[in-house]
Amino acid sequence: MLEVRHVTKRYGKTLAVDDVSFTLDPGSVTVLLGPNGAGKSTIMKSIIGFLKFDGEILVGGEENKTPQARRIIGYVPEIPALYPNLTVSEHMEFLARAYRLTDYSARKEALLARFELSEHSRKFGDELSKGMQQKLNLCLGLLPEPQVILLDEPMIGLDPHAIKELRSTIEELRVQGRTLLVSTHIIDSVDMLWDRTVIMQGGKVKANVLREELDAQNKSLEQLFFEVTEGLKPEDEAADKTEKTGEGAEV
Amino acid sequence: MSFIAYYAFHSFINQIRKMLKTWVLVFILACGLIGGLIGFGVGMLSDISDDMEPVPEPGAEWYSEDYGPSAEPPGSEVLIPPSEDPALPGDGEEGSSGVRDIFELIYGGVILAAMLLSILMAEKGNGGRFLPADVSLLFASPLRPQTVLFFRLLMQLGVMLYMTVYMLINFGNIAENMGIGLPARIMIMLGWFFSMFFGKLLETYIYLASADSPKTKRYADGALYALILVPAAAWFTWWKANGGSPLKAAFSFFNAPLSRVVPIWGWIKGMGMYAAEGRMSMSLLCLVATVAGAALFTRHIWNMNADFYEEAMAKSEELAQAMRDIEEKKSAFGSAKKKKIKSDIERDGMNRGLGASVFFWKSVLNRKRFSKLLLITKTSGFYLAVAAGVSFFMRSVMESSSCVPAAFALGAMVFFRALGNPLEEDTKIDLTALIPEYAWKKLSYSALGGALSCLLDLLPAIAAAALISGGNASDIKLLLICVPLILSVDLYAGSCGSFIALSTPANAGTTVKQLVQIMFIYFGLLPDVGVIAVAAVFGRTALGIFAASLLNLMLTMIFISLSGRLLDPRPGRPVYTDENCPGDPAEAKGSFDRIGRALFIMLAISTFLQLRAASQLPAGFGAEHPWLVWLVQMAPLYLVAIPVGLLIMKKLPASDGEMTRKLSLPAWLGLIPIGFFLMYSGNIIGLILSALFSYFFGGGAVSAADMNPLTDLFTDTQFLPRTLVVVVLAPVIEELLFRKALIRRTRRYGEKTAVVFSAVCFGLFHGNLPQFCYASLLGLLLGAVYIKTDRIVYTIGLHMCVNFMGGVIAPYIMTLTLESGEEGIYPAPVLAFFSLIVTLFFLGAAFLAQYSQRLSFGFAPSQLRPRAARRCAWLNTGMIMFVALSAAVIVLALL
Repeated sequence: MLEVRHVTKRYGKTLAVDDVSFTLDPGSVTVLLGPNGAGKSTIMKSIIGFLKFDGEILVGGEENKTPQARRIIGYVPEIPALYPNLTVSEHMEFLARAYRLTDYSARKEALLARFELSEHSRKFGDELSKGMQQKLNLCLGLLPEPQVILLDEPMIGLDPHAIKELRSTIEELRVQGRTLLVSTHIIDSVDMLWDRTVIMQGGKVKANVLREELDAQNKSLEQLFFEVTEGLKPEDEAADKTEKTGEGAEV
Repeated sequence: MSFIAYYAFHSFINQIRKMLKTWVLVFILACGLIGGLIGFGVGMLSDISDDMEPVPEPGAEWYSEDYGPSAEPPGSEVLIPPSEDPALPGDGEEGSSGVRDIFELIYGGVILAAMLLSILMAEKGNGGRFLPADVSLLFASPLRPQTVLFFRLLMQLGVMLYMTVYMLINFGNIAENMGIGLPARIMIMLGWFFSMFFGKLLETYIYLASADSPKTKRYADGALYALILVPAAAWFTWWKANGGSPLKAAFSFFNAPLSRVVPIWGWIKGMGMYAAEGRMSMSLLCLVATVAGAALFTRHIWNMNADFYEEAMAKSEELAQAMRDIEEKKSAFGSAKKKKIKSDIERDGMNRGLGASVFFWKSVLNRKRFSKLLLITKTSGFYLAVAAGVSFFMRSVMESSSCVPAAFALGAMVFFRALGNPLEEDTKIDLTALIPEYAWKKLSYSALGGALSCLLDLLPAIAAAALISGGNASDIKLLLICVPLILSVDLYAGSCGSFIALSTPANAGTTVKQLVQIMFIYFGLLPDVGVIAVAAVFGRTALGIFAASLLNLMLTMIFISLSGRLLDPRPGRPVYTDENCPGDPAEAKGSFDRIGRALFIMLAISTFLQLRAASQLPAGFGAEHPWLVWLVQMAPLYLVAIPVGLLIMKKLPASDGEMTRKLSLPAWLGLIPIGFFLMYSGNIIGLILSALFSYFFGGGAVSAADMNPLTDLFTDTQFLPRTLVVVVLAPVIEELLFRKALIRRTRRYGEKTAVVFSAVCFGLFHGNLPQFCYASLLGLLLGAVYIKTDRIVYTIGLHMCVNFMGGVIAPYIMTLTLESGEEGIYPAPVLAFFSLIVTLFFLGAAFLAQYSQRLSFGFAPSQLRPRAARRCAWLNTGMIMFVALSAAVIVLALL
């Protein structure tokens, strides 16, 4: 569904993304992990078509910057961005018109209700708290019923109810056959959710692992992350712990 | 495109909804109302004068000249003959095509200006200003980038739309005068819309093209200059070749039928002008051509390779940061321009200035760094060019040696440059807030630095104007006098802009802010125009210019003071709890009751005795025995009433504040203007109220001099006794009574209550409406001063100054005015006094805005909660009696 082929992005002399390739299948959730400056944000923005890059990105077979491709991609930014002079409800209406959606009213109400924004539907964009802004961005991203959904650090700032709803939403979308790419720092938040993980560091893909494979090796996502990024093996970790506590620790 | 319409509509409505929550919209509405009333009034007046005298309409004149008595009345659809053969200029009558020629010239200019403006905007990188929400919502959507860009640019039309509405309203008049019918009017307005539309298309195109290759921006620059200079040079050549007046040459050159073939510009013009001439088929042809041109251009833009999202994202981050700054009240209209950092400038530090004055020296240092020889900067070069050009034009074309047009042009440029928020750079930075000085000081120094820079920029231009215009000494003197005026305009516009920026809500659109700023500034500059015009009529233009400069300075001070108020942190509002409000309402009520009775008795005795005395004394008594009559007037009050009252009040416990505070001399002197401001404002309010009262209820208008029933006994011989009483005796006694006695006995229940209470009692006691108003306001100031410093000397001094001004100086000036007014020449003392009053008025307002913010009251030993305090203070027998009696006296005085 989503194919990233040999994408390279330079900012002046810095190489933000270096020959990154991966393919995501429909009906799957992929977790994009990596330390700061790994290039996660850059690759996401490249997929949605904000940036110029070398290489190719295909969405549903189409090049990612075409209107056809953009029609099926949904994007939820890391930092919520709303219009100060439109209300919650008006934001949804505005987006529906920009996407030329038909028959969206029921979906709009359902989304707003699900993320508890219905009673705030007449508040202006700049009157919302940060969490509510994020939820609205989420609703906006999901309104056009996209096939490929990019979520940049979606859990930060959400209250527990919203996190729960988001997780169940992600699960539902997965079952419906959509492709999701979730980028995050907090590994715990996406445990249980993912089918594939792509771990980046220094602009390169260091690991591209399916869940079954990881389960087969009996590793946790966290362990894999540190192994890949810091070269820590599980045995090293145990040794680390022993040093710190000064006692023999069970592995 | 319905998303554009949706956004435009809803965003606009919501902006209004937001503005309704703040004072700004109220102000606009009020101005609109006043403007409407004035317009209505003027309209009525002109109708009345029209009825009296049949004045031919301007259009009618040339009608009858050319077509004789069978001419149709103006306003109906009339065929206007095509203009005279454009190839033959020469000094023919402006007659039949005069108005239409002028209109065509202006219309053509407007169309060109609309397009030039777009190029200018594009060149300034205006197109890249996307909102963060645009990025996450629209960039990610299936809309083409061109569409998103066009959308955002359309939303930035902003002020142009308001101008459109304004023009629409005024256009009717012009069309009437030109005698053109409805189809022509529609075409002309359509032309205007097309100009704006094309302007936006141009902007879009330039932005897209330069996103691909940065060189295109420079081409845009070149195009801009070319579009101005080439036609100007061509016209100049044509004029020189054909002779005649420059205006005629302009007509024959720009209004030639051939000009309507010029792509887009000519077609738009042709749309309107052919229709005005009655040639609808040609007009429609031009319309079709314009639409076709627009369609082609749009199609070309549609097919362009537009991939500007990456640059736009970076720009929108800046904008988001600026919005955040606005939220924190640090900035105004958007991100400040980034000055290119040259590598060759010296980076030695600055070691001048202390406290707030660092902002001044910072400007000086900036000047040293970014200019050559302090005088040569981009701005000064621009000014120089303009001044030289205008002067040259005046000298060679208009054959006049006047330097005023050059000064005017420079003034206009300074004005427009000061639009926006030039003080923003300093108010924006956090460091500013950290410097421990009052904000108004920092702003003042910053503004001064700006003014110095402006002056240095102007110097080469002024010199050029003086030299090139070849003016004589008086011309040059006038030019030099204009310099302070221009500087004062710069200061005013800057401080006004800063205030507006700081006080309008952050999320009110830029459009609305710009509109408000334009209104403020025009309203502020209108008095200037008025003053100068009036002075010119009297032949004292220079004086008028000077006065206007002074006026601007005063307004600058007010706005700086208000801005400072907004920037400085305010003392928190007191929180009233049971702990810090231990007062006993019953006890308080008793105290206030006693005071009320005392006041009532005082007023009753004094009024009664004075009335008796007035009726007993024969007429003319006052002239013969000046001292005696004053004694008679004062005795009841001072010798009987007040001692009695004090006795009654003596029983109440008096308390002082916890500490007395000394005021430095400058601080005390600073209070005097505030006193004047309050006094004059109160007087004006009181006079308006009395006038209203007498309008509705009849009765004579009250003059401020009407103080008591013995007025008719006053004459000039009573100067000395009057002075003594008014300036010395009255202040002392009134202060001792209303401040010392009253406040000391009421302050334990709450300081604020005590101040307000004593002020109102003070006002009521005077017995007439104007004095009630101004005495109450003054009483607030005096009460506050007394309560904060616990020194009656300060308030006595202030009261004496105010009374001296109002009771001695003012009447003296009044007599001078009356004497000399007949000759129409006002002597120097009168003018000086007038300026003094105005100065003190504005100074007072500025200081008041500053001090009032820092004023805060502590908790008193028997503090009551505010509402309880008010109830106790006013709702008791004694006070009710007193208020009733004084109200009766006031009403009687009005009738």
